[in-house]
Amino acid sequence: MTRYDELARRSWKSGEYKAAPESPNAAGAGSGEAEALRSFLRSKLEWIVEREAYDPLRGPAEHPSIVEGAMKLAQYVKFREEKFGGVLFETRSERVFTLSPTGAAVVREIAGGGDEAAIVARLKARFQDPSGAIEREATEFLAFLKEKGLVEQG
Amino acid sequence: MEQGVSSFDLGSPLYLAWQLTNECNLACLHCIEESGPGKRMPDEMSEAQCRSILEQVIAAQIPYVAFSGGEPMLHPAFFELAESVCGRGIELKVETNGVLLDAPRCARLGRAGVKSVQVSMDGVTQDSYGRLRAGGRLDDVLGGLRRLREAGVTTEVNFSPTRCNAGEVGKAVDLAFECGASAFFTGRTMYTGNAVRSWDRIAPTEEQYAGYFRVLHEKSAEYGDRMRICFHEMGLLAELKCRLEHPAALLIVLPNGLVKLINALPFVCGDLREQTLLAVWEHFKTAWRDPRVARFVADMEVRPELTSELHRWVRL
Repeated sequence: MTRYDELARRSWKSGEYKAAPESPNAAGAGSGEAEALRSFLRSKLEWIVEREAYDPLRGPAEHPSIVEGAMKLAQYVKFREEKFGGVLFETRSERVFTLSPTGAAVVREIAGGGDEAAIVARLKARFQDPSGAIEREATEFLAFLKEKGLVEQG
Repeated sequence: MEQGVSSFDLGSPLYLAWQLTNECNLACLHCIEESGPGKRMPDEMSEAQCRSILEQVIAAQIPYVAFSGGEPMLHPAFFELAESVCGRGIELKVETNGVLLDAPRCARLGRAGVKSVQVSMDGVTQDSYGRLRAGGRLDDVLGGLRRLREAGVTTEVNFSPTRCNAGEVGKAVDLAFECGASAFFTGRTMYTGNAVRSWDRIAPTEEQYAGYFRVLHEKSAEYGDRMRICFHEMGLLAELKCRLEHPAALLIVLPNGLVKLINALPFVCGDLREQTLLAVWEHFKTAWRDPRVARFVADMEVRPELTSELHRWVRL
C-alpha cells in the first residue's frame, strides 16, 4: 500500500485530513511535504464526496458544480504544462497538440470552470489587455478546440 | 498551437507502452515478440518494482499507459496495477489476445474504468484464426468482445495480416463492427519475434497487400465515423526514417524493466530497475542521436532482414 493509500484510508475513517506523520518527531512533520500532502488529500476527498453525492437524475441546476454552457476538456483529453507552454493529448486518436504559453493559459482557464464568456473575461483580466487581442485570440482558440472535439460544452 | 516543438522539448513522455510479461497462453506464428507458453523472462520485475514505476508515472504526469505482453492478464498483479493506473486519472489501454475475457474479468475492467481494451482477432473463422493463433479459440475472443461491451468497456480490434487471413480483412472489419468495436487497427506484419521462424508460411505477398489495403480504403469510406479504421500502408523502413527526425514521446518498457527506443529497433536506452523514469527519458532524447541508430536504419534499407535481430538488445 502506498503512503497516499494509507493516508486516504485513515482520513476516510477518521474524517480528518491529517496528512502529517503521527509522531511530531517523525521526519516530515510540519514540513512543506506534509502541507502539500494535506492539500492534495483534501482535494481528493472533496472530489470523492462530490462524486458520491452526484445524482444523474437531478438536473444541472441542482448541481452547483455543473453550470449550463460550461466548458470542460473532453473525456479522453489530457492537459500537461510544459516549459514551452503545454500539451493536449487526445488519447483515443493518440493525437498530440502542442500549446504556446497563451494556449496553455486558455486551457488552464477552461479547467477553472465557467462558460466561454467567463473564460475569456478571466483571460482579459489576467493579461490586462485593453487592446482586445487576447479576447480575439482566446475566442479563436476556443473555437479551434471545439472544432477538434477537444472540449465539451455543458 | 506551437510550431516547431518536438518530443525532445517535453519534460516527460506522453505515453508508456508497458509489456508486463513475456508469458503468453497462445503460441502465435506471427507474434512480433518472442512470447508464448513458458516464455516468461527470468528477470521480470516484481510487483514492488512495477509499483515503483507506477508512482513515477503519476509524478511525471504521464497521461497515457498501455499494458501489453505477452498476455498482460497473465501477470499476477495485472488487475491491481490496472486499477491503480485508472484510479490516478491515467488513461489505460489493455492489449490482449482476448481469450481470458470471462464475465468477472470484463466486469472488473469496466469498474476500473479502462479507456479501452484492444483485442487481437486475426481471422473470421476458427480455421484461419486457429492456424495463426495456436491454442486459441475464436469463439472465446468474440465472446470476450461481447462481454466487454456488456461491461461498458470501449473495445478495439487488432488484425495482423498474413497469407492465411489477408483475404478476410473485409469480413473482419464487418465482424469487429458487429461486436461493437470502436476502432480497427492493422498494418504490415513485421519480420521479427516468432514471425521470423514462420515467415515463409505466413508472409503476405505484395499483391495480397495491395488488395488488403484497397479493401481497407473501401471499408474506411463505408464506415466513416461509425468505427475508426486505422492502418499504415508504409513499411517499417519509411516509418523508422520518419521517427529518426520525429521520435514519438513514447517509452517502451519491457517486462524486465529495460526501456526500448522504439519497438522496431534493437536499441535499449535505459533500465528502470536501476534508473529513474525521468533519467531514462533524458537519455532517450540523446540516444536517438546516437550514430548507431541512424546507421542501423540505413543498413535496413539494404538488409531488411535485420529486423529479425530486434530482440538482441543493444544498450546505448
